[in-house]
This record gives sequence, C-alpha cells and structure tokens, in this order.
Amino acid sequence: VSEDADVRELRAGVRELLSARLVPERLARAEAPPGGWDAPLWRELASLGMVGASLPEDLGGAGLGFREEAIVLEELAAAVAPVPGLATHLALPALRAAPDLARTATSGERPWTLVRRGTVEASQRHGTWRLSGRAAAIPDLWETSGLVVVAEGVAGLGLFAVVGGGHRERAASVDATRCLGRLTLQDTAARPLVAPGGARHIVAALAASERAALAAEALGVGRRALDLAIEHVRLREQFGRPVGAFQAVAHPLVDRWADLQLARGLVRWAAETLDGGGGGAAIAGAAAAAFTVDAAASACEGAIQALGALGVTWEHPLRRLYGRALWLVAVAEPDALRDEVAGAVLAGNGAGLE
Amino acid sequence: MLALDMRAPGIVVRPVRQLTGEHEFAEVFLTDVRVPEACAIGAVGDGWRVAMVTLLHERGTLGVALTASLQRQVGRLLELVRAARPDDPRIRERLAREWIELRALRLANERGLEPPGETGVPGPEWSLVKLRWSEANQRVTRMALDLLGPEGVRHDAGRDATGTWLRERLRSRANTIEAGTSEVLRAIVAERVLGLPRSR
Repeated sequence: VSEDADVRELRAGVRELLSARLVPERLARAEAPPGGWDAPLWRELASLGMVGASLPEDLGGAGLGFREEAIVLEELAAAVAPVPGLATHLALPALRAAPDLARTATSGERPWTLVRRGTVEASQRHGTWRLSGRAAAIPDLWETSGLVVVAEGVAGLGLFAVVGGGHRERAASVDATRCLGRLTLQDTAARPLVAPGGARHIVAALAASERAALAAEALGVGRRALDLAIEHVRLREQFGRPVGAFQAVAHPLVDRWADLQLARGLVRWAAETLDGGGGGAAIAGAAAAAFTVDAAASACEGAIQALGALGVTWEHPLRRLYGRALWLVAVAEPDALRDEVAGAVLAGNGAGLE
Repeated sequence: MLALDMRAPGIVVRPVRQLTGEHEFAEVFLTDVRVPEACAIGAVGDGWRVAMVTLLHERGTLGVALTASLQRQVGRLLELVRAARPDDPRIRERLAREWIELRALRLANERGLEPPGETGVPGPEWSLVKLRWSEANQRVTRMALDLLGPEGVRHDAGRDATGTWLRERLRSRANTIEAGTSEVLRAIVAERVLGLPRSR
C-alpha cells in the first residue's frame, strides 16, 4: 500500500523514538501494579508535536489532519506504548472550544479522557455548572486526568470539562497499560465547553472520531503481531525446514495479511472522511473500527498459533498486543457497529454504495 | 503466438458443460491444422512476451472489473434483504460484513495498490483483490439463496437461468479456481509479499 512521503516520515519518526525508548524494563515498570503510564515518554512525545497533531498550531497542535494523527495512534499501539494517547485523543475535538485546556493536552502536561458512556446530568446554580451521575468504561481514567464529560441538561446534551474532581475508581484490564475507569460525579463543579442544547453535532463527531481512532490503534496492533509471526516462521525450523515453508502455517498468515491490507484502506478512508468534515464519518468509522478490531484480534490469534508454545508465554510481546486487541474489541463493540452499518445501508445512507 | 481460424480443417471443439449448465470453455483438438504466416501475432519466437502482455492487460483491469461486479451483486442483495428480512439481526450482520468487505475492496482498488510493474508481471498485491473478491462473491450468492428459501432452488429444465441467484451461486464456485486458484494466490503472497520460504 502506497503512502505519501510526509506520512512515511512521520511514521518513521514515531517508530524510531518508541523503539529507542521502550526497552523491556521500561515497559515492565509501566505495567507493574498499580499500573500506570510513562509520564516522561508522554511529555517527550508531546514536545515533538505528536500529541494532538490534528489541532491548530495556536492550540499546541501541528495543524495536520486526522490522517496524520491516525498514523501516530497506529504506531503507539504497535509498540503498546504505555501513554494515554488514545484517551487524550478522544477528548481533543471537544477541547478546541477551550484553548487553555487544549494546550494542557498538547503540551503533555495533563492527560485527558472522554466520559460518554453513562448518565450524567448538568444543572446551573448561581452561574456555576454542576454535574451529577455515573459513567463507566472510561479509558485511562487516572487521578490526574482531565475529563471531557457528555452531560444532559434541561435544554439537551452539553459538554463539560472537569479537572481533578469526581470519585474515580480504576479497574485494571487485560491490557495492563490501559485501565477502564468508573466515575461518580456529585454536584461536581464543571466548566462548560458547549452549553446544553448545542452539543448534538459535536457529540456525534466525538463518537465518529473515537471509532476512527480505535481502528487506527487496531491496525498497529495487528500489523505488529503479524510481523512477529512472520519473523518467527522464517527462522524456526522443524522437519529440516523453516516452518513458514509449510502451507498449513503460511496460508493462514496470508489471510491475516489480507485482512490488514483491507483494514489499512478502511482506516485511511475513515480518517479522510473525518478530515473532510462532511457527512458519513460515523458510518466510515463504524465500518473501519468493526473490521479492524476483529482483524487485529485474528492477527494476534494467528500469530500465537504460529509461534506455538512460545506464543502463550507471559514474556512474549504478543501477550501485550493480544491484550490491547481484546481491549479494543471490547470497547469498539463491533457487533453493534455492524448493526449500525446495516441500518444505514438499508436506509440508503451507505456512504459510498451509490 | 498464433491466431486460428476456428473453421479451419483439423480443429475439433468439444464444449465443456459446467455446473451452471453453460459452456464457457471447451476442449480444443488440433490435428495438422495449417496456419497462414499472416496469423502470427508479433514476431515468431516472441510469443511468450505477447502472452505475458496479454495477461497483464487482463489482470491489470480485472481487480476493478471484479469489484464492480461485486458491487452489483451486493446492490441486488440489498434489494433482496429490504424485501425479505430487513430486521433480522443475523441477516443484518451478514449484510454489514459484505458491505464493509466491498467498501474495503473498492478502496484497495482505488488507491491502495501499486500499479502493475513494467516487467509484465502484475504485482502480487493484485492477488489480494482476486482472493477476497472470489470468497466474497461466494458468500454473497450463498446469502441470497439463504434468503430465498425453497424459491431459490427452483429450476425448470430448459429455462434460461441467466441472472438468477441460483445460477450465480453455482457459477461462484469457479471463482476460487479460475485465474489462479486461491491456493496458488496464497502461495504467491506468502513468498513474494511476506517473504516466507518456498513451499516446494
């Protein structure tokens, strides 16, 4: 699959930095209980403009598109980098409304995350907005994370920023570098980003952007797992030849390669549809995420099989990749996404079956 | 490379009847057939190159043609689902999968694949589209028959089956065999794209 020179350069830059920094001991440290993230690495990525690349430069971004941001997410996921890259990315579109907060994200000073799965109510008293309610399945909900919260006010959906408030419970997940948090808000003071009643479009845009981001991460995970499998079956010998010479080993890997080739086209399409700003981003994102998270899990499972007993050991890097793949499948919910795609296609809004 | 006048003496054509009942190809027997010199295509001795260039032209556009034909099939399938079971979650799941696969194949054709090289050999990436198209077409025609129930397998002898889903399903079995079997295509990708050792 061909790629423009600027994108190739960006990809190589992220990949080089991560492979230099993420030595095994550093990864292990980030995974050790209670779990955490690598703050120095996060700040380093931010200082190189790799956090929020799609934001304008006056917000600390690089003025690029989501297409470029997707490349960064893909590479971060391929390295299973212990940084809150996905979570911060999810919150970014909403932070455009608050330049000072956006700059805390792009500078690496504060990780952000998005709270949109739950029931949160917003009310205004004496000129101050307050939020109450509960939400779950929040990616990377650390004590220090800034929160972008989708909340229902009398006038409709609104978007709020919460910094350092609310009762936060962290649940470790199969991906030790990425927790899923639960949040309880009780009259928690919040800063309005978009007042209730005016947030429908941006909430839909947040969902579309989340789907494209999950797909980009999945692509990185699947690609790396397949690379590990290929490397192994070229070298590992049985019955006097590399196991990759046996069709029973090689052909399933070809199928996983084919999945990922097709996934790459879908991910790019979803990213460009977002950048285009027109309609269709929700369905493009749904198609890309549903296809790619499944492709990533299959690539990991195919790689585990190709590696034999080595593939099921704790020490092998596949363990992290598979954990991330399962995390992505669980959060993306591909069955629900496919049902949404079917609905759009049956209704004749199939973004491209014209 | 020679062009033959099929009416020339010494040519016997025995059509091969297929699963669909149609004759798309034939066995051809040649016995002492005389061919005028003017019927040579390209220079004598240069036939291999002519054959390769011909294949290049066939394959260079095949991916696009196959995807376009799949798009027609999925469009027809969509009409069928709308009319039959638009709310059946199992059918919706399968429809979405096929629509996404079609979208991905179209994207792969539009901008994902390298153009064929100047060597006359199509790039191995081409195998991807052929491989996935053939399996998608088999699933789509299967899904259509699943939706049609007993009506789908009705076949009155002597009636032209052209365009029916039954004909399409029967025809689709050749998709993973013609123009490179799926096994050969996987072997090409394994060796030339993934860099795995030769299997022979």
